[in-house]
Amino acid sequence: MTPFTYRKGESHYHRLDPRYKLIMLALVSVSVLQAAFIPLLVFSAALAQAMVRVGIHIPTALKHLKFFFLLLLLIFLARTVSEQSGDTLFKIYKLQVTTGGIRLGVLTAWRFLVVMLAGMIFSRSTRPSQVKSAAQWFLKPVPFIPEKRAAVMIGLAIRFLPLILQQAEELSLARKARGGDLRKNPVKRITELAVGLMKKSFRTADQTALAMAARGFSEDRTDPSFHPSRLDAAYLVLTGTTAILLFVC
Amino acid sequence: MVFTDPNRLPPLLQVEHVSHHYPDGGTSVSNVSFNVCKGEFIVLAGANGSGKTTLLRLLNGLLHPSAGDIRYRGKPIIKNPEHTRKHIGMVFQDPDTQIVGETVFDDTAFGPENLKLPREEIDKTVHATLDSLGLGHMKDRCPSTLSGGEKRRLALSGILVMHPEIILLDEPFSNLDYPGAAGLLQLLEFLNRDGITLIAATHDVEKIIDKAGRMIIMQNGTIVADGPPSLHVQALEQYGIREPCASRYGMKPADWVNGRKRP
Amino acid sequence: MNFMNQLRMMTYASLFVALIAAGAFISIPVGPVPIVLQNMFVLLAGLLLGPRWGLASVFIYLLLGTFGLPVFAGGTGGIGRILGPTGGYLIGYLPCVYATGLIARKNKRSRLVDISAMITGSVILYAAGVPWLKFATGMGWEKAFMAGMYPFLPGNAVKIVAAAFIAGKLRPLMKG
Ligand SMILES: Nc1ncnc2c1ncn2[C@@H]1O[C@H](COP(=O)(O)OP(=O)(O)O)[C@@H](O)[C@H]1O
Ligand SMILES: [Mg+2]
Repeated sequence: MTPFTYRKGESHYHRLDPRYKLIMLALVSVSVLQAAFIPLLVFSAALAQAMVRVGIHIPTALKHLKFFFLLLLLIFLARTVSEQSGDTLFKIYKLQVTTGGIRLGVLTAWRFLVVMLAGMIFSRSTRPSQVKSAAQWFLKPVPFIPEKRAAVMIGLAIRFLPLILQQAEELSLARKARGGDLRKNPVKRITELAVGLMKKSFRTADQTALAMAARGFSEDRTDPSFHPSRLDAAYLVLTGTTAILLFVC
Repeated sequence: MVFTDPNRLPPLLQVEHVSHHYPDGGTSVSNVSFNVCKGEFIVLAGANGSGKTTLLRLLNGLLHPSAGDIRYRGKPIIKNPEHTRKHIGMVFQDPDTQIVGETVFDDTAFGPENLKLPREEIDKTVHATLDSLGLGHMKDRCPSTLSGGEKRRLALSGILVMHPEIILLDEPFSNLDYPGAAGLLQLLEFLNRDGITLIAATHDVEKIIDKAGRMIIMQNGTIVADGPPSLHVQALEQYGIREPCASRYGMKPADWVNGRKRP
Repeated sequence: MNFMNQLRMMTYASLFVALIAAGAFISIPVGPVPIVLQNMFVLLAGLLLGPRWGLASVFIYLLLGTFGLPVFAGGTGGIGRILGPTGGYLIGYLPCVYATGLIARKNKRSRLVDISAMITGSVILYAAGVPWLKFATGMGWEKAFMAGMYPFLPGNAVKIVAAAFIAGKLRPLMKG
């Protein structure tokens, strides 16, 4: 259970058509990566409100992202030392840190954080089966990609993921209990864990394939249905306008 | 030739001299023959490893016989697997592996989606099936959160929604507590009375023997007995199957659900 | 049974989507830096599924992440990760798995072939990841190699050797 995991809810975001939501997410992501300071600040406030609406507890969410913050720090540092504008604040060794550099570093890291949080709102409020349906719809016009098969694979992958994580945990616990962690050779340790994990999950996959065949699986199946409403149109216009504003301001 | 007498209709399933062996193993089913008529309720009894699961999988075309022939309504099943699987449903031993949908509703809709039925029709028949099994109120639940008995019912609903003629059940009572097993048994009885042919494989015959009209006993891949359960119940032990308690004490097998003896 | 084989391959490929995603969470402490198993599962997808199904599973994995599902490293997701400084390593999985699968498939099966296939795949991965890192962050080449490649090489070598053993043990299971 992470802040990215879908949970039932009654918010507008829960009710929106997943295809509209994906378009909105793309619009936001692209425009945010271009946004200037003040517009980004305003947008972040709106985003925080949306997070509360879909039921994300913001401190928990930020705590979950601690690994991601390391990446943001890397982005910040790289930007800070590569941009040379404004007043020089200090110099370490050959690196010159300027006000312009810090400004750009903060802005870049912040943009990525906002894109990440927008993705969190999406996945928190969208059933995996809806993600699957929307993916099929978007892949339909793409040549060389059989969209129905892709949708079935998405469904299966979403089903396998929790099983694998659970098995991995059991295996590593069992290994610890047997004192397996004391063995020094990393190749052996990885092989043991991965073979155990994969053997088990291959058997599950075999069973699943058999069960699907038994239930008459066919790739040529009924398409998902969507029921867009006025709410979707309204949100799309709102997001589109916001994106343009973020882009030009 | 015209079939006027219903008793002269060809059997639903004809199994003729069927053998099967796994690529890496020995023979799992050898020279098995029997017929199944419409409306029968058959217990397929046998110790672990006697070939029950393999036989069930042969019956709905998941495995192909190495020799012999299986016909459904006179047509060889391996020639039209889609037809077979629509009409011969199978409940796996472990319902977790059988459930492919993300919610109870989605899972039940899997079969009709395979048949490419229109969406409105799918919605209607799935709702009707779920309601008839008492699963209607949990249609948005994630299957992994269901109890053992509910999972088994969900597996059945995914099959019943296709309106099958025959349902094969592999160890239907394993991992079920008493209320779960009793509920399932009542449901099976109801389905059978509705005209659905049932074949249930089990190494634990006690729960089901009273409801079945016929018992086929397997040992080492062959059929060693076939007939009314009462006739063979005492022979069970000799084939490595636990004999129901009641019959061991010389009584007729008890009605397991109600705890009454049948007159 | 062609239908059954096709269905089984599709199920295995979906399983690899889940394994690759789970690989971001499964780490084995070796020395000071834990080894994350994700790219090992990508290489194994190439070896065990072949180029086409391997590509399919990486594609679906990236699609899920792009759509915001938390399958990228650290339990994150979203297009931001693809566009971000480490996005090259994610996009690079596509040519990486394809090349690994192709080399393993086109040559006689041996541990040496498997290992060469995976080395090629890894080289392709860095060839996508390092320049991307350089241009996305504006750092110099030397720093990009220091941050995005050198520290990972020993772990990568360990994973390649392990994956060669793993593939040998699992291939017999996949014949079905
Ligand atoms: N996938 C398989 N590969 C090889 N041998 C198998 C496989 N499945 C079952 N067998 C063997 O076939 C025989 C019959 O097994 P099965 O049909 O599962 O029996 P039952 O369901 O009565 O326990 C057993 O000897 C078993 O070891
Ligand atoms: Mg069995």
